Amino acid sequence: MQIKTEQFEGPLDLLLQLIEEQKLDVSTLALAKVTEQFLNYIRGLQEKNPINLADFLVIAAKLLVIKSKSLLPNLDLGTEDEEAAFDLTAQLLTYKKFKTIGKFLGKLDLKRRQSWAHEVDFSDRVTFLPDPDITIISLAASLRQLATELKNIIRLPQEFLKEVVSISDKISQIQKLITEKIETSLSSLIKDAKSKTEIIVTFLALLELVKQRIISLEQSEHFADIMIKKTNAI
Amino acid sequence: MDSQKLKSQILSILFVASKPVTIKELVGVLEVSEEELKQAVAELVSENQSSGIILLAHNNKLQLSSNPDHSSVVKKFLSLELREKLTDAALETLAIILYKQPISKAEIENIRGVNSQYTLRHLLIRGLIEKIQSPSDRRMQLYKTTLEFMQHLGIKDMKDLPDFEELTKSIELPGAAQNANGQ
Repeated sequence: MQIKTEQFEGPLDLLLQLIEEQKLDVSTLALAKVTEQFLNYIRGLQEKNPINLADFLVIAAKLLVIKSKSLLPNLDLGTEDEEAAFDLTAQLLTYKKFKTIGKFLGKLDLKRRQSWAHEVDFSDRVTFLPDPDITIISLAASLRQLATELKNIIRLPQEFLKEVVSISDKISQIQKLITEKIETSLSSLIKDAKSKTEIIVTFLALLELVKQRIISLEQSEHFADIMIKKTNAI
Repeated sequence: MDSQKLKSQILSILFVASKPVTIKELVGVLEVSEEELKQAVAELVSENQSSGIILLAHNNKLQLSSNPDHSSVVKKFLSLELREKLTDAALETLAIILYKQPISKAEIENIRGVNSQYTLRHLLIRGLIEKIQSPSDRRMQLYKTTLEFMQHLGIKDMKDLPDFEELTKSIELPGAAQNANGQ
């Protein structure tokens, strides 16, 4: 007899179907009879869907114990193994009961009598809870302190701006110088610099002029003064 | 406390709570005994069976929910799409958890005879079951059905579910009635 190639929920499901299809009494004899078919199914499973193979093998082992016992009644396999195998009938019955309840739940599911919860989440609402220690005086003091701190933050860039020498100013200054003198040096350019920032800006201005090929730089050796020349017009 | 007032207070709290509220939380807030509260909850559950909003109570958790009797109109109002049907494996596993809860994964797999990892994860994601730590062994986790399970299947009161014996009394293996009972 061929087993239909439908999917079973597991080895117990398969065994149950085999027995019920043949209208066999669940006796050790009946279980022994379906062993061959069960093993055939496992052979197919090995290729198609090996995921639950181990579970099928557990039941197959029990079936083989039962079959061995029915063929060789004198065979002694040890009480533990035998008991485990002969428990199969009870296991099948329990499984069948839950399978039936599963079908009952499936009917409930099909009725689609869904009910819904109230999903407003009040915990997300923002609430202002002032500290009980807050007084008008402490609030005023905090505000004054905040104002002072803000004043410092606002003043800071003003002081910074005073020191700034812009690169474009420096560029025109160097260009003017170079047209007058043809050649000059970095040391003479930064001789009158009032701050470190001005030296940096001078250097940046030189780099920009080199990049634009307006001037060219020459240095005879390491740490020697850098000579600045106007690039020869092509 | 006057029981009418207590019931009214329970409803107000459950209305503003967005997630299931435990009996323990309510006992703390309402300052009543657990028996008093459970009595009030039992009354609310039975009194509200035909109301638009019913009280779901299961595993010491409470939640207000729309009445499953009106699921079709609510669905129409929310313009909900058809939901996915539960698979046979999912139903089988749910059936075991429902009547054996709290139950471990090993016990479930023993009954089903097949690895149930994937099915359990699927049911957890759908919120139909939840995991709790076993009180006897902290390394072990047990599975229970949730309030969402009740909502999903439209169960108004766990008492409405048929008794396990009643549901399975006619089930037997072919010709093996005495055989199985003898085990």
